[in-house]
Amino acid sequence: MSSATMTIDDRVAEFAAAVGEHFADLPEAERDELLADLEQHLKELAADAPDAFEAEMGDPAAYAAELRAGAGLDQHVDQPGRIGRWGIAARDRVRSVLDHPRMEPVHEFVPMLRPAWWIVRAWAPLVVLGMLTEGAWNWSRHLIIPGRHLLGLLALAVAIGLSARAGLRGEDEGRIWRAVAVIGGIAAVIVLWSALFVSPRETVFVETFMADPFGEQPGLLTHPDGEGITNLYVYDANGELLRDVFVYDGAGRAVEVGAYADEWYGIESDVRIDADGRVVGNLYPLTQYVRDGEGALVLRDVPEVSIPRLSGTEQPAPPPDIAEEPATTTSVVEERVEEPSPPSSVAVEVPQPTRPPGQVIPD
Amino acid sequence: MRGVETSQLLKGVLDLAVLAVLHDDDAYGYAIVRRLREAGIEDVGDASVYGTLRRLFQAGCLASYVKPSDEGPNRKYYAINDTGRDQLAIGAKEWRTFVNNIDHLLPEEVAA
Repeated sequence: MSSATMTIDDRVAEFAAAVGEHFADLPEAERDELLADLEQHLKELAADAPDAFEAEMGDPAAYAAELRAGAGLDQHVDQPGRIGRWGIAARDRVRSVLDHPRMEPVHEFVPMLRPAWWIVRAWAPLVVLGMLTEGAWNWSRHLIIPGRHLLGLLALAVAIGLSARAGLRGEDEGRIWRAVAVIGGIAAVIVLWSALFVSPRETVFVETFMADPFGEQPGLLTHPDGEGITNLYVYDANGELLRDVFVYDGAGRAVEVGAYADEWYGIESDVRIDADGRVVGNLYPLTQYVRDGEGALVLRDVPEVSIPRLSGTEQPAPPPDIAEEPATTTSVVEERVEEPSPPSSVAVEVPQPTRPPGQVIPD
Repeated sequence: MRGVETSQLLKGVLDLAVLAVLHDDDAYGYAIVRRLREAGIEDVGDASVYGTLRRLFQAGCLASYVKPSDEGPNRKYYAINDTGRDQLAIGAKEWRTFVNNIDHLLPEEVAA
C-alpha cells in the first residue's frame, strides 16, 4: 500500500478517536467495541470512496450524534424502563413550557431561589421522618423543629449539606445524588402540600405540638401524676352540679381544656362562641361526646363524684351560710375524684372574667 | 420538504430500508449506504446507517462476518436472519398501511 493509504488510515484512527470522545457515557467495554468496529467501518469507507470519506467525516460531534440516533443510544446506553420513559416524557413537556420565550424573566429569577429550595428540600425529609417516627422515638420532634435541640440542628445541617451537594452535582454524576435530590423534592412536596391543605383542626395540633416539643402530651392540662384533664365539672357545696360556669386561673386567664382534649383522647366537644364569634373555651362543663363501640358519637356521661362534707357546716347547708364563707363555697371538682381532696390549683378564687358571661351564646 | 424534515421522516424507516437492502444480498457498511443512495434515498448519512446496523445487529436481526478483500482492508458483512426477515415483513406491512392512510389524508391535487 502506498503512503497515501497509510495517511488515510491514520486519519481514520484520529477521526474514530474524536468520535469516541462523544461516547464517554458508555461502559468501557462497550465503548472499546464500538470504536474498534467504527474504525473498521471507516477504513472500508476510506478505501471504497476516499472522496466520500472527506465528505462524511466532517465534524466528529455531528457524526457521533447521527450515530447515536441511528443506534438508538440516547444519553445513556441502558434504555430507560417504563417509569423512566414516563419521567423523560414529563421532563420534556415541562422543558417545552419552560423554553418558551415568555418564560425568560422566570429563567433569570428562578436560579436565585435554588439555595432556598435546597434548604426546603433538606428540611422536608426531616419533617416527614419526625412525623413517621412520632411516638416511637422521643427525639423525633426535634427533626421537625430543629432549633430546640442540638440533634435537630445537626441533622438539618447534614441534610442541607447533602441537598446542596446534590444540587451542585455535575450533569454526568452518579445516580445517588440524583436520588438524594428526588427524595428531598418528594418530601418537600408532601410537606408543603400538607401545610397548605390539612384541616384547621390538625393545624391546631401542630401548633400545640410546636409549643412544647418536649412534653409527651403538649398543651394539655394535667394532674401532677400526668393524667390529662378533659373537662371540668363544678359543684356547689350542696353537691349541685353547676352548668355554664366560666373558669379562670389566679392570673385571670381563661382555663381551657377542650381543643387539646379532643386531639388526645378522641373526645369531641361542642364549641361555644361569644357575641363576636370567638370560641369560648372556658365555659364548663363542656358538652362532650365520645365514640361508642361501633364508632358512633354518644353524649359523654357526667362522672360520678362524691362531694366532701365540709367541716362545721350543716348538711344541707342553707344558702346564707354559703354567702358568708366565700373562700370555701366554690370548689372545682374534677371528674373521677375518688377521695376528698382540697380544691386543686384550677379553683377560681377571684374570678376576673375577661369575657362577660352575658355575651355567650350557645352553639 | 428538505433537510431536517426529510431526515426525520427517514429516521423512522431507516430500519426498514436497511433490512430491505440486506434482504437482497449481504453487504458491508458503506455498500449499504451506496445502495440506499442509488435507490434515491440521498439524504442518508453514513453515521445513521452505521448506527442502524449496530442496533439491528444488537437486536438480533442481523448476523455479521468478516470477509478479506483483494485490495484494501477486510470488510465486515451483514446478513439478514430469520428475526430480521420477520421484522422486515412486519415493517413493510406497517409502512404500506401508513402510506395508504397518509395518501387518503392528503388533498387530491397535492397527492398526485
